[in-house]
Amino acid sequence: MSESDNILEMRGITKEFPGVKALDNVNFVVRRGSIHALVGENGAGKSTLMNVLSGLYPYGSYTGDIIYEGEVSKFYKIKDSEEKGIVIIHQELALVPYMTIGENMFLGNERGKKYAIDWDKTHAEATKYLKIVGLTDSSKTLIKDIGVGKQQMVEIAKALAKNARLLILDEPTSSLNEADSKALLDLLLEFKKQGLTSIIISHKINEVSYVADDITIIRDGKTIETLVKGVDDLSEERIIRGMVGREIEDRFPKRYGVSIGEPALEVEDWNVYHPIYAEKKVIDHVSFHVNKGEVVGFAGLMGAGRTELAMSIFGRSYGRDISGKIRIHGKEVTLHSPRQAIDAGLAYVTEDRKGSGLILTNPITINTTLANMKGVSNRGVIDRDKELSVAEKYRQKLNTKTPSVRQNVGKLSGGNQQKVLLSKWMYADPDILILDEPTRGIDVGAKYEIYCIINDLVAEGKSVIMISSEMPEVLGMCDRIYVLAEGRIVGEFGREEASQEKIMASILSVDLAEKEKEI
Amino acid sequence: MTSKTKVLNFVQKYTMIIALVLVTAFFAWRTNGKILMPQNITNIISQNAYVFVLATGMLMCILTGGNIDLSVGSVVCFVGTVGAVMMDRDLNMWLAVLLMLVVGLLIGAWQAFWIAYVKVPPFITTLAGMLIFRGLSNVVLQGKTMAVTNEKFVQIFGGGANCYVPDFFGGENINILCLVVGILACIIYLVITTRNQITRRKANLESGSLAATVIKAVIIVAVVIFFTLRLAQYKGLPMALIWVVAVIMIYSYVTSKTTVGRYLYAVGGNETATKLSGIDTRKIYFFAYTNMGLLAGLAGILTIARLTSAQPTYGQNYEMDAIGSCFIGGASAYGGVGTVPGVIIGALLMGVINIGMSIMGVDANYQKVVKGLVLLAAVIFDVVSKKKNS
Amino acid sequence: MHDRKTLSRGNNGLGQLLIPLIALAILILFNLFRDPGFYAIGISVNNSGNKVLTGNIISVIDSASELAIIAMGMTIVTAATGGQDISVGAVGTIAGSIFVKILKGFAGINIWTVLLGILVCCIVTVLFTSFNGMLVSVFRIQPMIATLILFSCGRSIAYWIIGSATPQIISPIISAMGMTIPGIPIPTPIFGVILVALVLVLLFRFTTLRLYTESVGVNQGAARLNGINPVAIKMLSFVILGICVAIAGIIGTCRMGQVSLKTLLVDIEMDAILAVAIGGNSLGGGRFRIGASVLGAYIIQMLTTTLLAMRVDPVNIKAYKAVMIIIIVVAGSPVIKRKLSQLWNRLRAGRAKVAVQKGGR
Repeated sequence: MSESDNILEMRGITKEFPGVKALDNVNFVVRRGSIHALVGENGAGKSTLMNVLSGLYPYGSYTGDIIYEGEVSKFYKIKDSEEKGIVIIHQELALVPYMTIGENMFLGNERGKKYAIDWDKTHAEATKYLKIVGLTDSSKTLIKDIGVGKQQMVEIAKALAKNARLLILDEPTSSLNEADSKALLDLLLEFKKQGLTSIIISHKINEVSYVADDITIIRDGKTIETLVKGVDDLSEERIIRGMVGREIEDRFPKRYGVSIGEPALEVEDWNVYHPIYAEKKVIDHVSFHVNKGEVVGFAGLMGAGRTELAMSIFGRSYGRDISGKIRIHGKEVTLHSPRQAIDAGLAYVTEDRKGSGLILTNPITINTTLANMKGVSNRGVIDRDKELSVAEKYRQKLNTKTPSVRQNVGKLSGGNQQKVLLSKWMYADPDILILDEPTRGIDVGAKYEIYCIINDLVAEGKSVIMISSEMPEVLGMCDRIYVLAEGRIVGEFGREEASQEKIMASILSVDLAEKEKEI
Repeated sequence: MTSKTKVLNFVQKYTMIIALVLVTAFFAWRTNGKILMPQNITNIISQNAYVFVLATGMLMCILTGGNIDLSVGSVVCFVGTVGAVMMDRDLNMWLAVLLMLVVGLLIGAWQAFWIAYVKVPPFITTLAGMLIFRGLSNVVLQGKTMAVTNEKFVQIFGGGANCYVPDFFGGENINILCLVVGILACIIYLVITTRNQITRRKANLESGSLAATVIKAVIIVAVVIFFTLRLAQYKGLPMALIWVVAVIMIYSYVTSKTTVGRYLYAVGGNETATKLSGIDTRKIYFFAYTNMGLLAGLAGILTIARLTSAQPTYGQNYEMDAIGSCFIGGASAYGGVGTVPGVIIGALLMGVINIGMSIMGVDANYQKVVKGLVLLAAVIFDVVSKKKNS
Repeated sequence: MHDRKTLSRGNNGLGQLLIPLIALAILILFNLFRDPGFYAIGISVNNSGNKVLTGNIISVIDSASELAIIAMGMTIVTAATGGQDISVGAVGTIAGSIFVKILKGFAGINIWTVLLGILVCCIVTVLFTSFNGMLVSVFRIQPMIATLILFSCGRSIAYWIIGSATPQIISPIISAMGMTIPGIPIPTPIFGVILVALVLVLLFRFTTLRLYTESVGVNQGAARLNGINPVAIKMLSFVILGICVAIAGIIGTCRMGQVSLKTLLVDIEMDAILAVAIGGNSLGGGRFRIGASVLGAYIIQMLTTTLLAMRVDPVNIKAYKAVMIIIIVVAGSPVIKRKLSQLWNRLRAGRAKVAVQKGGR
């Protein structure tokens, strides 16, 4: 391939965040007029790479070069890359719900003279672009009044209005149903005919196979390989193998004396709606159970609804119009608040430890006892010394590295913060622990320690639900695995039969089943 | 740790105290030592008693997330009005006191309800309260002043010429009781601190550097002795001090040793995490604002006692004094950070500035600007140190 | 589950003005009953020998001018930052003081000195409100706390500038600005309101500013992703407020012929916030309608004048206003809205059931 055939070359891109190397010497080449797919697991670095390209992470915050249209490019902000025709559509839609389609489409890109908006022109052009993407809604409709599928189309129309030459779509079909997804992909193929180059980040392998000319696989911030249409096998199995091909070494502690008992938690026909978009069903007729002494995994990809499921069960901390039954140790319970959930024996260890799990400005002592103040207080008076010893006890038990338990949690490393968070919930002495991404952002050594803790918990007869996007972890730790996709349980596997391919396959089978419905 | 870091840490931890020392020294210089004279030291306490009380209550609200209560001045006025009118109608003094506290509590609960359960922004609710209760005071007093003549009341709550704890030891030039109390306080403090250190070290728990504890103890003892000496040289312990000390002790205890206090810090530190830990955050907000009403009631009692009257204009700008003391004393505008001792230091600082400037004869407007600047410095310092830590 | 007609106001264009208009109508009718002569408008001759319009209605609209102008500025700041600036009254007195000081610096008062005075006054006032703006947008301090500083010492700063003697500025130009221009029977401050309103409405209608301000107020993060700079937008809102405060301060000063530190623009911050809220604008930021706040300002003034005419003590008038704020804010609070919509839905479900029972078979 000669140079001028490549619209984009990213060479040796390395991007670091405190404590984490998100991208490690990544090389990425996009052919002009092609649809190039970027695939990889959660956290592999796909979005980070595109954020570097678009200028969200400005020039200077990374090392390496971006060569666009043959020139070395330095983008300091999003507008810089947009001026060159690089437009990125983020996974979290950048639409303002209470404004109209027209207003949103030209936000930051207004029609009219500098700083003066020509509203007639705005609406006329909006209508034009809406037509191109196949929407018939009036440009004066409010965003919150149209469905997510159409909102996604508005985003694309918005990008077209910016005269995009290189369009980047980050998980564009993650919230779309089968029909809308196909419409979007066909649109991309249309655009390709007109000379538009697209980069699509997606975990939906079947869609990737459908549209992509080239597929680049990223894992742990490194480029693994690029598959080219016509040269390499672009089948789904081939792609999955490239994505996931990690050896499962002895990264998981062995469990001895595994004894699984009666069901500790049973959830029946659970339904949850989105708190803001009231028609969107986030959890759809989910039923599952967890036995005593069992580690049950919830696998799936981002947006599948696992966190939402957990939080809605945990005292209705998420969602509205929730319906379904919960039984704990065989008895039916209604949990309307986290306090009720905790009293019933549940614990939820959040995936967002800094935002909703820990109080960063408070010391380890306070964070450890927060969910169970009764244990260190008597009639409202805190026994400081007891609290101190509880914190010490858990520090030693979990091997939390800190100069003192009086240290503010904000000053600890990610792994140690996670340990403090675990301490809090362990101290609440629950029967059932829901761990949401318990080892995210943690180094290998600390991960192993946390796995040991999980094993100890279930050895005591407790139950653990592990929500994780790291497949090896789910496969290595769990007795049973549920697979969630788009708010539904699409598969259940026992330890022996489970495998990464099977899990991915059941995620995809949702789409397949839908396809079959159409036929 | 290098010695440089150690010093920096020390400075950061004790900034307010250092500031207080420096400011006092500054005014001592500029007033030729007048500010350290017995009468002035006494005034710092008795004239500012209401600030200490209100600031303590305000701290509870600020801890929950930077929420303030703008109505305290008007509530002080209204409670004082009610009390004065009742005592004028010969209501038993103690009943009147109880009534005033209850009224304050009810007002606090009223505002707390709207804030905690209906989620009306605290700013709006308390701004409305500020106007409503000022208006109600005016209605009750019909625009006139009402004298408070119940001598016992005035004396016990810190007003008039004789509002000092009588000297049982009959000292002639110096109030011996006062000295005795001061020394006792120091001894008790030393005993408690020593005991804590011993038990901690025995249990092999975290106990902090011995040197720091000793230095802290020495300084505290020195300051207390100095204070009580000055007080003794004037008229002894002002009654107002008793009430202030009571409030400080109770709320220091609440904030550091009770679960409610703990929850105040938790809600301000991270509301989501606190909710998910099973705590009903609405109850915490309700507590903070109801309590503020109660303390405003107490401040109302102290105010009408000191001024021996109730006027519909009393209490103006009290909220500024209270809020300023909190921020100067290290409370964070985002919540979750701040202590009662810190707030007292902040109030002391403002008291010293107030009296210092008065002695220097500084124009009232200058005083306001200086206070505004001090508030600004405190808030910016808070923001900057937060940025450094994150 | 949720159809478009929720019980919230705002976002529905004209729907936002519904409640304020109803409130105004109630006030107007109330006064009609109470005293039919209330609305009499007459023409009389004022001290300078010019014909002017008189009457309660004229007085209401005229004296509400400073409030209306500041309310407009407050609307913008609220929209962009979700908070309120309570220093506007104090900064307004600073504005008035600067204006007088400049005028006093020259031998006589003529049109050029007045224009200079206005210019300098605007610049200095904007500096002060920008100080607030910086604390809010750069230092990310809550608006309420940030503006507390100038709230407490603003009038003292004004005192410094002007001194206790508060010199008077007497000149036909000044009284023309504060009261009426000879030959035009309508008080000048009303024109001031119209001018400011016109400028702001045009500014927001034809430029990107409305879009940017609203998106920053609704969701800073999304705005930033679209390349909008929240810090710049917030600073700009404080600059606009600064100009509004300056103009209001000048008008207030011209009315009295001097800066009266104790009474100029006193308590206007509360009234301005109330005006914004009555107008149906969300106090938490986002979409806004400037005209609605102006309407709110007139409603407040109407209420005050009505209560004064009923001989209510001025101190108590404040209390009545406070009750009104609470009612309006509570009515707009999400908790109440949800409870009301639940009630509404249950009623509709009940009516539907009844309809089915009646109609079925």
